[in-house]
Amino acid sequence: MGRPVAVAAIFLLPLLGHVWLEATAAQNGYRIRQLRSEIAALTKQNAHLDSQAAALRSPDRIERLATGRLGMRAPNGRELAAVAVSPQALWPSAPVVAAERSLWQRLAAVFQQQPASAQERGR
Amino acid sequence: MSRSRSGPHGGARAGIATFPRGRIRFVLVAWLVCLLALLGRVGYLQTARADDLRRIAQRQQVDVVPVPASRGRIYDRNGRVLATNVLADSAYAIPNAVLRPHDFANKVGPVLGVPPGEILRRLERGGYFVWLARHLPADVAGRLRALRLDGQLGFLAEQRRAYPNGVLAAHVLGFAGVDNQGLSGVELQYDRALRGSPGEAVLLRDAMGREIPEGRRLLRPATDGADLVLTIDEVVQHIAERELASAAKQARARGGSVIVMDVRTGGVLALANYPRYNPNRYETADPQTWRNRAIADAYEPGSTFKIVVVAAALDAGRIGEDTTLSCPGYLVVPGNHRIREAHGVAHGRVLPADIVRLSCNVGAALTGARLGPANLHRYARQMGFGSPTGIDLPGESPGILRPVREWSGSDVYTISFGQGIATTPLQLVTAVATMANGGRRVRPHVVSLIRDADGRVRRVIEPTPGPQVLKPSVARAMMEMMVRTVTDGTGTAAAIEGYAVAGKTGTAQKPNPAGGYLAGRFVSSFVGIVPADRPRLAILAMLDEPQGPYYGGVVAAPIFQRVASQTLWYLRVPPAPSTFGDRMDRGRQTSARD
Repeated sequence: MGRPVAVAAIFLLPLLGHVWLEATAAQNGYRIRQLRSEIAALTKQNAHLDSQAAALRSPDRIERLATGRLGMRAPNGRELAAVAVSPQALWPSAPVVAAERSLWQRLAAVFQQQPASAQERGR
Repeated sequence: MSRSRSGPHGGARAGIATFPRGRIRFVLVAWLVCLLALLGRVGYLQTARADDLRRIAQRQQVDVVPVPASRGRIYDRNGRVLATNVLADSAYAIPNAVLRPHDFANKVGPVLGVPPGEILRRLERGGYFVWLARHLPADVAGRLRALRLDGQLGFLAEQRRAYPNGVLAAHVLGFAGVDNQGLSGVELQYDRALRGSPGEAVLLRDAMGREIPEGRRLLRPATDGADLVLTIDEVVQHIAERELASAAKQARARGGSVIVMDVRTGGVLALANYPRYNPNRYETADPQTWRNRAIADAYEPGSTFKIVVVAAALDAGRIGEDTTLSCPGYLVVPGNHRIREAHGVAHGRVLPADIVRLSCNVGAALTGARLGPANLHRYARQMGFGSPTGIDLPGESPGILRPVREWSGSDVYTISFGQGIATTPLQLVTAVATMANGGRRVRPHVVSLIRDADGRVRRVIEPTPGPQVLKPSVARAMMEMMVRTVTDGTGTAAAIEGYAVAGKTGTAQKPNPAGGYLAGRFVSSFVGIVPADRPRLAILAMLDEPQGPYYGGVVAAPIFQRVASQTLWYLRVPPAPSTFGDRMDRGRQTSARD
């Protein structure tokens, strides 16, 4: 009794294992297909949203909202003024181009640096 | 014998025993024959028909499908999207699977807005595939799906071109067709770069024709189309279109154009035409509105051409800045034609600057006569008239500049004030940009950069320096003359507070195809440079057949003024005192002495 069952099991188990693997592969395949279709749907939605966002940013729409809803208007020439702004004011971190210093200014800078260096060393 | 075999199952065995032995043999033989026949058939199919059947099986199970490439996007010079792609459903029918064609057509037709008869006509072709509608709006696709005609009706997701700003820059962008092929504008000019190349994939299908999961193998990947970055600025384009449409509606004009060009590079910042159309629905628009008038339509330029004649005469040394000519209000030219001033006024003794400032027809005609037909023709050619400017847009007209041998005796006079020659608005603005550029021509262009789908720069379109057409001193003198046109000439409506504006007005009667000119039909234009002392922008404004006031200085100069002032603010070009003041004052004193 035991022996035929064992023989049958030796032949059947790999067969069942193979069937199980095939079924799992097919199941995963369908899952992948479903995910791909979800990706396609999301890509489609993303493209639509991108296009809608660009349409919402269109100058014509913004101008209509500004003038119609917010009561704004374009400034006329007298309401605009050009103000000269130094690069430092716009970009505080911009490198400063040092002006040519005189001999006395350079000498004074040497004396000013010495106490500062001493303080640095004392810390 | 039969008794000895009986037992617990003796009845059945008795049945077999009683079955005639001959019949058993017959059945066995019949089975054997069938088996042999089947074996023979298998052998035949596996050997003689093997190749044919393998081919049929491959055709049914293996499918080579194209992998579509994405069309490249189009951006303005600041990276704002002007043309992109969206996915849209396209519906198809499987005629062989439609059992009741009339019912099918009556259900599908109303949803698609197509007469059922038309649907029936397509179904009659038979087969397994026929398009019903391409690029459907999402709501229509949803309503079609709700009909639940699975197996008879299918959908394919296809890329559709979308222009998020609607009408904005429609004439520059053009449009792409249902198969994503460029049909007009930049879409057509750069179609090869935008289109990319489709790839190929192999997919496996089951007996029902369905794609087997994970049965797809890529043979050749698709190469997406390249993106284009234009020289067009979305905001400047909007300003130009808004002001043009407003002025054209107010003047009840047939059409119009505005071009804003960067004089240093030849890059076109805005190119607007009126009437406009929406490229998202180009098929519903009047095809006449698709035409890019600014480059495709040639008009007689009228007085704006006088600056070309005066510049040419100065450059050729046929006149000097202090040469005076006499304008008695009319001039009789060969052929006994009489050239008159616009209001019949006699300007008296005029300097070249006065010819430009006062738009003196007689002065321009006399200047042209001094220059001579050959020189006038040569300079006009050198400044870009009579041949396309080479802008990277399709459908550019070369304008009309007849060869000198075809000129009549009066042509040199009439062409000198802009009659008998036809130019496109783009040619005119390019010629004026030449004067602002120290006498050197630039090639106008609308695309500045081509980059691949991964953002790598493939090609940078650098400004192409053209030939030196005018001496820098002549170009500078012309700028001064044009500044005077705006400060105290025919173009005062173009003045912008804080900026030096150089410009020239033009009012040209439209020629009658039957000969002569059409009464009451004019093309009004203004072309100018701003700021004149450190030129940034060359701008042309033109209205075709304005009703009511029609002088260029009255209807076109204000368009220039509004477009230029807003563009200067937008581009943060600060106002500055004009450097032309001193020389202009000296010029006025000379004029007064004469």
